[in-house]
This record gives sequence, C-alpha cells and structure tokens, in this order.
Amino acid sequence: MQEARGRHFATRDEVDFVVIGSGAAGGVIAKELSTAGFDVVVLEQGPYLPPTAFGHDELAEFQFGELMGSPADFPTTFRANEADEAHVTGGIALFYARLVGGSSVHFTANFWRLHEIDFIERSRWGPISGTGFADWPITYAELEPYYTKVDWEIGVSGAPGPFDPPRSRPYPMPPLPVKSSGILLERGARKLGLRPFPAPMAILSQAFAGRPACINCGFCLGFGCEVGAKSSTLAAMIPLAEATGRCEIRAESTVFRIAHDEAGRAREVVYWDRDGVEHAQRTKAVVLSANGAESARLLLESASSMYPNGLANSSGTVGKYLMFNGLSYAHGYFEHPLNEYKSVQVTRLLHDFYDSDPRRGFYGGGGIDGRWQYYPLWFANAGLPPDAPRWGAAYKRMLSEYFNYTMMTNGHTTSLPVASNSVSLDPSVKDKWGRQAIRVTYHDHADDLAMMQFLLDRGKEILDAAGAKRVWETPVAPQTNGAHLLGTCRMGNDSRESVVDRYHRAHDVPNLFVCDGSSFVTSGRGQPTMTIMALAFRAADHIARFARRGEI
Amino acid sequence: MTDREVSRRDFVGQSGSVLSAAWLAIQSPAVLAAARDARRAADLRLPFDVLSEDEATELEALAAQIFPTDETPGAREAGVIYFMDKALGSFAASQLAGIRTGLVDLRQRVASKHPGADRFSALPFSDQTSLVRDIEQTSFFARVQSLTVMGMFADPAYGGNRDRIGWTLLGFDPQPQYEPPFGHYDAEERDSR
Repeated sequence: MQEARGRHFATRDEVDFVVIGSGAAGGVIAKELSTAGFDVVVLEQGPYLPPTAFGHDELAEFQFGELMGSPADFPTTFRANEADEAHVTGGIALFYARLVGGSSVHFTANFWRLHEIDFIERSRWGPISGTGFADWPITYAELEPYYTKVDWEIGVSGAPGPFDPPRSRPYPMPPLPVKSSGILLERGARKLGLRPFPAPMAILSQAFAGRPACINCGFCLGFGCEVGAKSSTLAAMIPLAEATGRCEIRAESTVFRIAHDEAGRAREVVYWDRDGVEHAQRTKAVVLSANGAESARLLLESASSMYPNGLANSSGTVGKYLMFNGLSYAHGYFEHPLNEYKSVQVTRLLHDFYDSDPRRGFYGGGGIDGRWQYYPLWFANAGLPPDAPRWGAAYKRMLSEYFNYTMMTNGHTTSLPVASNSVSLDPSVKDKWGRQAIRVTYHDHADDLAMMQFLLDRGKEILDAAGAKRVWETPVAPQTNGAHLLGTCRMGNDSRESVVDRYHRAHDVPNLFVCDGSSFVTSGRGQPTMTIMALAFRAADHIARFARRGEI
Repeated sequence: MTDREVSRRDFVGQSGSVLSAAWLAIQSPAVLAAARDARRAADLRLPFDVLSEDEATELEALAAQIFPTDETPGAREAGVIYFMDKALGSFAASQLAGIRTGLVDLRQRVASKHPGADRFSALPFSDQTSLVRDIEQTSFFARVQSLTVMGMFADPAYGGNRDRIGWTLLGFDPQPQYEPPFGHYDAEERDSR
C-alpha cells in the first residue's frame, strides 16, 4: 500500500471540496482544484497501489480482475428489458477498476477526441424515435482547449489523421512504433480506398514530464503499467495533486451517501473506511466522479425526504440513457508471424465511417482499429475460430499455429441514448457492504446493432484485402456488459431533461457537481476516456471560478 | 455448484471481447497470492494439498487428453496437476466437490464401457479419448478443462506451466520489454523504406 504523501484533513474540518472517485475525471479534478489553491479530499473506494504492484500475472490481474474487485463482493445484476427480473450473470456486467486512478489505470489507452459532429447530431439528423437523442450543451470548440490540455498534461502520443477535428496545438509526442497489425490494417484499408492513420494513445512514446517512455511490454488492456508510461491519473495527476500539500487521497473509502442540509445543499459525504467504520467528511462542495455507473447509483442511494427520487434527480433521468458504445470483432489469420503479444494493443485505425450516413439506412458511425488483445490464457480459451477443436492434439496444434499469426479489427460504434437502458438499485441483491447492488438494464438499439454489423463487415473486407489466409467473425449480438459507462447523469440546459448543467453543476443542488462518463449526452464512437478527462479539466476550471467568486 | 456458476468458471468467451473473459468468483486476491508459492511445493515433490494420489492420477490423464504429449510436451510435462491441486486447495476450493463427484461418475462410465476396468488413467490413450468425447459437454469436463488451461498458461509461479512449456507452445516469449520490429510485417515495412 502506498504511503499517503499529501495532507491529512480531519473529517470535522470543512474542506473546500470532496471529490468522490480518483479515476479519469476525479484524478484530473483533484489535481486542478488543489493546484488552484483549494483544500481537497479525494474519497476512493479502492486501494492506493504503487507501480510495483502492477505485473504481468494474467491469472490474478486479468482473469480474476484483481484491480476490479471480486464479483462476489460487488455483484451486478443484468436484464435486457425493464419487464424482466435482473440476475447476476455469468460474467461481469460493468467493467471498471477499483483503485486510486480508477479505470484509467487498467484501460487500453485508446485516446480519441470526439469530433465536431458528435456534439450537434440531434440538430444534424433530427429526432430518432424511442431515444433521447440530443445535442450537447457545449460544442467541440468549447472543449478543444481542454482536449489540448489533456494532450500536454496527461501525455498523449499520436500524429494528425485525415478526419481529425481542429486542434490548437500538435501532439506532444509522435505515435508509438507500428506493429504488424497496424501495417496489415494499412495495407488492407488502402486497397479499399480508405485512409488509416496512427492511433492516438495515452501511452508515452517518449519520456515526458518525468515519466519514462513505453517499453512495449504488451500488457496494457486490463493491467496497470509498471513503469508509469500509461497516462493514468495515478501516474500523471495524483502525484501533482499531492504535491500541492492541499490534497488528501483517502483510499479504501467507500462513499454510500451524500448528505444535505435543510436548504438542500450537500453538506457531508458519508463513507466506510476499510474496516467498515462509518465516517462523514464535512465539505463546502462535492464533485462526484465515481464513473457512469457508480455516480448514478450514489445519487439514487442518497434519496431523502427532500429528494425522494434520489439526489439531483428531479428530472428522473439519473441512471437513465446508459450507453456502452458498440463493439464488433473480425479476426484474421496470416501467413507470417505478427507476434502481436508485444507492445500496445493498437497502433493504427481509421475513421472513414465516423459520420452517420443516411444512405446506410440507419443512424450510426464509428472507427475501426487493427489490434490483437489476447494474453496466453485468454487466447487458449477464446482466441481460435468458433469451429476449432477445444481439446486434444488438434487443439494444441492450432493454438501453436495461430497465437502469433492472428490479428483483429475492432469496430467501435455509437450507442443511442435509450431511456430504458439504465443503472438502478437492485431490489434484492446486496454487495459485501449490504448496499443494493447496481442493476443494469440494457438492450442495444436496432440502429446500434446495424452499425456494429456494418463495421464488422468492413473489418472482414480489410482483413481479406490485407491477405489474410482465413477470416472469421464474432457474430454481432446485443451486449450484456460494458466498459464504457456513459450518459447516466447527462448534461443539458433544461433541468427537466438532464441532471447537470453545462458546467456539470447539478440542476437541483448548487454545490454538487457531477463529472465523468455519466455526463455524456451522446456516446461518441468509442474510446471515451480522452473526452472524460477533457470534460474534467473544463469542469474544474469553471468550478474553481465559481468558488473564487463565491458562487457555490 | 450450479450450472450458472460453472459457466462463469468456464470463461469460454464466445466473443473476442475482454468483456466476455470469464471470471472466477474468488474470495480475495490474497487467496490467489497464497497459491503463488506452489512452484516450491512442486519442485520438492511434496504430497498434494487436497487431491489423493488416485484423484491426481485420473485428473492428470484427463489433462493429458486436453494437451497430449506428442512432438511437443503436454499437460503432464507442464505439471498441470500441481497447478490443479494448488488451485483446488485455495481459490478454486469451491470446485473440489464437483470435481470429486465427476471423478466418481467417470469411474462408473469407465466400468460400463470397459467391463473389468475402473480407472480412466489405466485405459489405452485412444479409449480415454473416446470417453472424453462422451463427457465433453458435462460441467465436470468444463471444470477440468478450465483448470487445465490455467495450469498450462498461467504464470509458472502457480505450479503449472513448468519450464514455460505452455508459453513455448504458443510462441509467447515473456520478456520485460521489447524493441521494434515486433513481427514480420512491420519488419518488412521498415526494410522497404
């Protein structure tokens, strides 16, 4: 366990801000607010791990999800439709890491900006029935300075691509070295007239800000980076927050209620420490950045006689409009070794299909990357074509033949905001604290499934054109789990239809801000973390201004 | 154990998604850490933690059906059985009862298919293969398969994957870091410039 290096506050001290969560959003906000001169306590449910805790142990760290917490401790229930009863499923319904740095520690580090179109699609395409399709209350131009801030403060490698939105400053460092999957994606895509480009990644290709360059070890997806080259908030933001002497990272602190006073203002944040002892941290204001599932859950859980539907939920939209992004997978087997287990998961991608196109007959857009994302155990369980033998000499031989000779294309696509897709409190299943488990209700919109299929087909064409000896697919099916947790406390100008305003302030509670994936109004095309961090820099900027002006 | 739990442990992952990797419901990562001393025990040939010699012999024969020894080493040489024993004594302890029930059932199947015989491991290899075909859809075999794959490819610190036999089979060469070029096609591209 890491020694706390920042300041220590007593729970009776009224601090300027309590930030709930230390991930992509919370880590940025804690650093920005403490740097701006405010006293900040960060409450994080997971442990504070040093980089030496991150290794390459696939069984513990990946298969058992050591960084995520045991599903026995934190069950999540799932149902496809509101009429169904939800159950704990065979897998995990919501993928996120529980530790200081949150999921920015274990993510793959694909780091796309949204495009200008993402913010204004409702105006562009009109309403889509059965959805809450809406424009964002902010534009790309308003967010751009903060995207650039992320590039230069977090550390992003990349090179300009043909479909990029405008940027005010170049990437701080060049792309990571291209892999065979990147070369093959380029070859196939170019034959088809498409325009692939280097993937922007939140992984350092050069030493930057006192952190070393990536050593190409290959263990990004699902793992923490032992050298700190992955630009998690744990590596890039938390040390700066602590160095201000005004920020305490209080790990293993599980918040279960935001308490308010008679005026309806947030007053205390109530949590359990690692031993289950209850504490309440007094504060002038709260920033909730616990992720798109946990933030909504905490607001619902904080219901009171004044706020019977949950805190900040007069609109009834807390927890609704959950969006996972679509994912589709094509696989190709090639003549020569790719050795894809080395280095980062993705080095090339294409955005030719980013915009929606009415000629396709449905709404949607996305990007395709060339990648390989297996580790030995995972590959042995799931990496072979569906008709491959599962045991015996033929299975063994095929594993040997395929492991270093395959790659994938991943299609990353839009999810429409559908009100019934949601997180809510499960009426019967409890977690290890005795809290109601998070219940997920999710069924991809028909347009989302059509878009997934569309990019799956394009991916197969690219692999064919690249010379794959064999191409197979993972059939598109409604998703039953997600790692991108978006939309559940959406931003908006109308307090009847959204949870927070354009500055992330809760419409109902003036000293409560919510900023993380839950703020998204539409899903983008996948890879939301860059936008979560940009929103966090922007939110912190405005929150600091409000605080200085006495407007909180 | 219910069939739903079995399917969780099966972590078959019908899709290529990380999201479909299977997850064992373990008590705590600390239990897993405790299993990491397995290598030492295996090297010293200490007695098995939870399996009897007889159970271990049967399970090892099943593992060898999944990864047979042919021109390359298989589950036997990789010491998969030591991984299994350690796992069933720690993070996979909840599966032990099901494994034992399955072994009893296997013995009955052996006896009914090969009158006079009662041990799977004593049958000729091809007869074992034919029996595995009979049980390959059972939850018992799914459990054995899951543990065997782990024992073959998990870090050798857990007692299996001896001498990195599993990793060598795949062509996975774990180094702390790599330098480009990584594979044939990026090397080819670099050379053509």
